[in-house]
Amino acid sequence: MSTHLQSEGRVPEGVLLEVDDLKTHFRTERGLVRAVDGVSFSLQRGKALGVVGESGSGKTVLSRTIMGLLPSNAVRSGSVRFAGQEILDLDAKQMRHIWGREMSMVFQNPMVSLNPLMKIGKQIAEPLQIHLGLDNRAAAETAERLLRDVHIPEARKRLDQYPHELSGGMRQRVMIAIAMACGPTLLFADEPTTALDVTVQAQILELIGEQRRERNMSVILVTHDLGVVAGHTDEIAVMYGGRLVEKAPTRELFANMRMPYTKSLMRSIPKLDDPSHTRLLTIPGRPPDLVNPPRGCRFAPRCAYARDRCHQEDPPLVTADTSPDHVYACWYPVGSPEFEARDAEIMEQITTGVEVGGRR
Amino acid sequence: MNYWLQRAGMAVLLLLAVSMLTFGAMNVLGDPLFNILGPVSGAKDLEGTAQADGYALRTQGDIPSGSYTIVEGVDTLDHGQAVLVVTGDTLPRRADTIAGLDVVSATGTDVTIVGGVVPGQFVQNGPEPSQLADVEAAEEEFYLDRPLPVRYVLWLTDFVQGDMGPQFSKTGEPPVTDLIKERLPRSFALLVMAQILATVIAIPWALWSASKANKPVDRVSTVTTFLIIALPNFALGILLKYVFAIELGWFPQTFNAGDPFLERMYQLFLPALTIALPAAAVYQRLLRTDLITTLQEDFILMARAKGVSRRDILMKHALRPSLFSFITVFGINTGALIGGALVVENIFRVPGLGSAIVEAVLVEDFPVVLAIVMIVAFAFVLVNIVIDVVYTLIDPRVRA
Repeated sequence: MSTHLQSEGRVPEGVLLEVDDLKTHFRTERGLVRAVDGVSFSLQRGKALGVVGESGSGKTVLSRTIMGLLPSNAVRSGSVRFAGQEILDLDAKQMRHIWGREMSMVFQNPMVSLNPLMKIGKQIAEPLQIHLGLDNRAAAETAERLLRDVHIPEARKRLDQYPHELSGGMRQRVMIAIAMACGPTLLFADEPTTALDVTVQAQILELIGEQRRERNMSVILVTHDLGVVAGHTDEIAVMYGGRLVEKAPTRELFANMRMPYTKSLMRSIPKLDDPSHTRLLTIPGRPPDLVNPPRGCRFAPRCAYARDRCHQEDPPLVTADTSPDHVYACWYPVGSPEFEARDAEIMEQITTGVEVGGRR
Repeated sequence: MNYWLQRAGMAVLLLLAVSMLTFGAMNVLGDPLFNILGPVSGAKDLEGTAQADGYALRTQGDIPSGSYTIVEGVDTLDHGQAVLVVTGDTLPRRADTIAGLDVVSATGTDVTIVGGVVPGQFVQNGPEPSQLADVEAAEEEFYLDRPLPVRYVLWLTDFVQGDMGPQFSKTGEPPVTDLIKERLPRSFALLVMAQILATVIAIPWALWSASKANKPVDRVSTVTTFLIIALPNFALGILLKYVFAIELGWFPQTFNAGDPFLERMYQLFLPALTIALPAAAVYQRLLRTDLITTLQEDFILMARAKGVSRRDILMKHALRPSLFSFITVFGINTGALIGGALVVENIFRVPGLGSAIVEAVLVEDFPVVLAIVMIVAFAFVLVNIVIDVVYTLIDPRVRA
């Protein structure tokens, strides 16, 4: 089985999803939380987009905003065009025809995302009956086929089992089967492997990629782990503090990442060729307070490369010179003389053992 | 299987413990012989002022002639009881009479009796020769000549065979078994009807409330539940009776044991509703809270993402996992409601177990009290076993 799941150009092109200046604010007692604050991007049919960021970067809220699955204290603005139709202003009743049929979601924790009191078969049959109007028998047959599609052994027997009788990996496969049931054109996978152990993680990502290629489905893979998206996406969007800070085709991003934040995420992943006991670089500080985001670049307070301008002015998204599809928001990106000068200093400090931190 | 054997064993143990404790308690309360026969001791004649057991008794008003017994160790002073109070004594002393006396007062060692008929505590002096035959007969019938543990075993043997013995205090009354046969079906019907009504009211109410959680309508409904719970049930019962039976005339005011079955069920509706409303309010609170918690679970979001309608999310996904607290309290309530409906039984004139047990306690009629206590305990145990079965039906994880 191939580990590289990038599409190979045989899928029909066309934009499936266009997100423009999307904002999601939550009214809370502390004030307005700007969880997603002006995000724009588009996604082609059959392509996989990885959305990467720390906890609190707004990546999960972004996917739930696009899907319209938000609590009642959320306020959305901007535009989401799905298959040419504006869906941001649809209410839950209208969205219900899109949920499960056009867009599906695989949730983070399969242990708590399946109804513990409902048989697996019934949970898979539910969207089939709602959207495709299948009768019980046809739905059960389709459910069995779906379970086989996601490589669950003894599919027929599983239909009559409850979630607690299955392992975590099996449950996540069931979740994928449910998400796939009505053949959606867009799948959100919200940290689909975080709750699973490592060997199972690879299988689940493999399965999502396989389903995507077979069904020519677009996938938005939300994760905090750059390693997860590396092999399983066509494009990567990096989010920080509710904003998109860098977006590029996967290969391009790894080859020419521009945002110091992206670079920091990279450096916080352990590498096989590092000598053992190498200290991982962590990003100092915490994600910004989304009620009172910092002035200027939101990453500046934690950025070791930030200069005065970063604390004053908000950098716009600009196109990189290496690729027209590569955008980033940084005044002194990786490769700029200012960055390189500071980087040399930092590397020296690290080797001499001095703590490095951003200005706060 | 093993589990159910354990459950059954525990139930039997519980019933035995309940019966033992009640049996013991009833015997601590007083001498059964006295309750059966009334005063049998060397009574003093209290015409005018008399000496009784060393106390000077002064009577007021017309004192019927008869025998009076002074009995010690009484600490209750209920209406209608003739009590001998000796000033300076912490313990009032009770006088038992065969005649009707009302009030008692005392100064120093002068004691005044003004009427009242009382069941007493224990016979102070030995029975008079003329009463010996009666005493022996009573001792025979109630095994009173045996030690307490033996009496208990003998009582239990009879009870298990369905013979609850004769009633103590009212000679000529039917045996306890007959009394229970008459009262139990009414109480049972009242309980079943009340629990069904409570459930039928509580579930839709809670679903509605949870779907509108914390909106103004939900707040109003919350206040309403508290109002119903806080309202004493005699007030609720009288209100319901006044509005629906007296003013509107939709329901009969009282219960008539002689009417046909359906008629009687109709007569039981208002009392059942009086019991059901506070229960429904409690169930609604529990269910609403659990529903709101369940609705925040990830699998509910998952169901939404599948395109399940709001209604189906509530009914098919959220309701079942939210039933546990409700069912638990439902079970506990069943035990409390079957014997505890006294006030409602009185308001609507339904002679059920609740009024029977209160009457029996007042006259210290142990066999009746014991029988009713056992029935309530049995109902409690039974319902809670049923509820265990219901748990396993609702949640497959409990079956393991």
